[in-house]
Amino acid sequence: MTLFSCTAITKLQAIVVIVIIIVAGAAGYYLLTPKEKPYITVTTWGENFLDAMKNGVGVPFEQQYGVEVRYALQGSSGEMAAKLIAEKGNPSADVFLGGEQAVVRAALAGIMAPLTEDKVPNLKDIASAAKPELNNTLWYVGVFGLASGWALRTDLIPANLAYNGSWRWFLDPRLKGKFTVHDPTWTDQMSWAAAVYGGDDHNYDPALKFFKDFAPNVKFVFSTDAEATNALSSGEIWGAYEYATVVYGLAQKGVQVQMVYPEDVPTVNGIKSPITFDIDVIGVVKGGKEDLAYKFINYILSPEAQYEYCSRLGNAPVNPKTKPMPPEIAPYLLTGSELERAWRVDLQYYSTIQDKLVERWQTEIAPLIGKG
Amino acid sequence: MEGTRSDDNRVNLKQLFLLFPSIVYVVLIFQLALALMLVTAFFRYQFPHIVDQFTLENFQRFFSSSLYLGTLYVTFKIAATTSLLSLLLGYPVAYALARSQSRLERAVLFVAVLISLFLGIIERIYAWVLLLQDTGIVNRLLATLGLGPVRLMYNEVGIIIASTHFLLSYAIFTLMGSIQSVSPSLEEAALGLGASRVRMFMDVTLPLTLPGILSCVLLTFSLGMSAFVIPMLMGGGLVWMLSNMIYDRVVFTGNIPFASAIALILLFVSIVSTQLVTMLVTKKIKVG
Repeated sequence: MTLFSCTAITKLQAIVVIVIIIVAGAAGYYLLTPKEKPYITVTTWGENFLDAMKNGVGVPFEQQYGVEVRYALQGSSGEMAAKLIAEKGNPSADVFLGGEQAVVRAALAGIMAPLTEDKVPNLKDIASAAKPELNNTLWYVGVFGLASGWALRTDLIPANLAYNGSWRWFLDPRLKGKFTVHDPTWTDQMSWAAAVYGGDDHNYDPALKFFKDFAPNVKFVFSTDAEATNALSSGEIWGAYEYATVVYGLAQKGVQVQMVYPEDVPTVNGIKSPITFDIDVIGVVKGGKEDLAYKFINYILSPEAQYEYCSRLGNAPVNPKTKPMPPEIAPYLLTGSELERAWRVDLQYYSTIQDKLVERWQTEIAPLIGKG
Repeated sequence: MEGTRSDDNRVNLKQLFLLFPSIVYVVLIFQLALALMLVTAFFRYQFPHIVDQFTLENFQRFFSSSLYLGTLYVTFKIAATTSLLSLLLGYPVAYALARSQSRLERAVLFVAVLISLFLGIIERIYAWVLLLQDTGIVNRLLATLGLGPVRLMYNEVGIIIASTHFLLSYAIFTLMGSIQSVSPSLEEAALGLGASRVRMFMDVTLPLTLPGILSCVLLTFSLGMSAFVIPMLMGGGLVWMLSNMIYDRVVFTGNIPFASAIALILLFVSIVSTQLVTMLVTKKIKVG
């Protein structure tokens, strides 16, 4: 027999060889693959939010603590809240960062772990307004403050129709179909509209009345920021009620958009000409990697992380020890007398009436939009 | 004979064994989820908790509101229109693909239809947004011709256009198979016996491809009824289909029992509609 002649092998021998190859391959893969680094998963929105989280917080955190930060992207924090509630006990994210309304819902559903100063030492420096308790327990803490108001493409508005500082300008019939508004799942816009027509964050009937009058000037209703920003940048609409941070992101892309806060809105809860103001919040999801999550939250509340995160987003830090924000962000932060106009609405109350309010919107308001 | 019967039994057991993982998957993932949804639809919602107390209020709420009944009607209308358009637009393309003598023509058509399936739905929708919005390409073209603007977005028209585009590939491939199964010699025989092309199509091709037409309609109608992303992004919050209602209730208000009830109603209407169409077409096939 020559060196390269074939010998017949039995089926059993072939099976043995295959099993040896598989076992050797698996063992080699296991031994040669580097051990997985510890990691946590943090929820965040995309685009500039993801960029700010990754570069401002995630990468430095990883370098300091050797814990990899992974990101669970959310189109809306309401969506993420629904997902985490459904996953109760076995969450796909360890840290829930979202709008306060959504995190309130998560906390009430029992999926958040309490925050205490022994687990998150930096909590002691955070302004009390950013540490709202629910049923006498701190389930989440503010991670940045952000105002919401009207984003206007002032470059597209003709001179004879220029914005005049009044909420009444928005009802001008010459502005037919020039605006978009958020659906009623967002408290801020509904609260602003309620205030304009003499209501407040416990009386939304005036808000519905306002939107009935405003409907002819509205082209469409958006659910995600991407719809509004696309329409603003294409010039499809001239104005949208949006967060300042979203507008900052748009301005950074070169779109000429300006934040305005009408000054003749009636006084609400003692606040003259209120500007709706939110804190987006962060908390630990029960059943996840809680120890690492507390460490992450403590880090994001530190002055250094607050500066890096908020300066990238154009938002206000919640830690007073943070160094001042860069001057180019000033137009997107509430400063001076605007700070006294900041109005934090009652999100917990809104959550209880939201189901019926959405139904009323879809019945009474939506049919009127774009029909003017 | 005895040996044959036991062979059959062995074959059946073998088939069952091979099918077992799929059966377990379908039962666990789909049937169990469906059963949970069925049960949850009869629970009460008291923010923020689901109360496991039997109630019919979710169904009462749906059927007593013009909002939800109106949305059901719009959902049905859009799905039916989309299905019909997919059939009418897809049949000629499928016929050309099945009957073309030119390999080049078949290849070009095939790639043109297939390539749209490679794109994700979000990319396709945003392409339609760029085309159809008031400042979009279509309206700019109309403006240069001194026409328009025509409102093609944030209404049913935009949703139907985008949905038809999305479903057209499915319609074409479903119909193509059916047309290919009709022997060309039957058509040639009809033509040879003096029938016009139209008569040939109406009396020979169309009746023989009814099963394919039925499959196409069932597929496109079912997909149309459950459309979600297209109405969400192109409806502008002004046109909803039932799946958008379900999404809103689950994500934003947490009212999962009511969302389950809506989902069940959607499922029921889809099943009844498709069964009716199947009965009608099957009757036609048998009579033919």
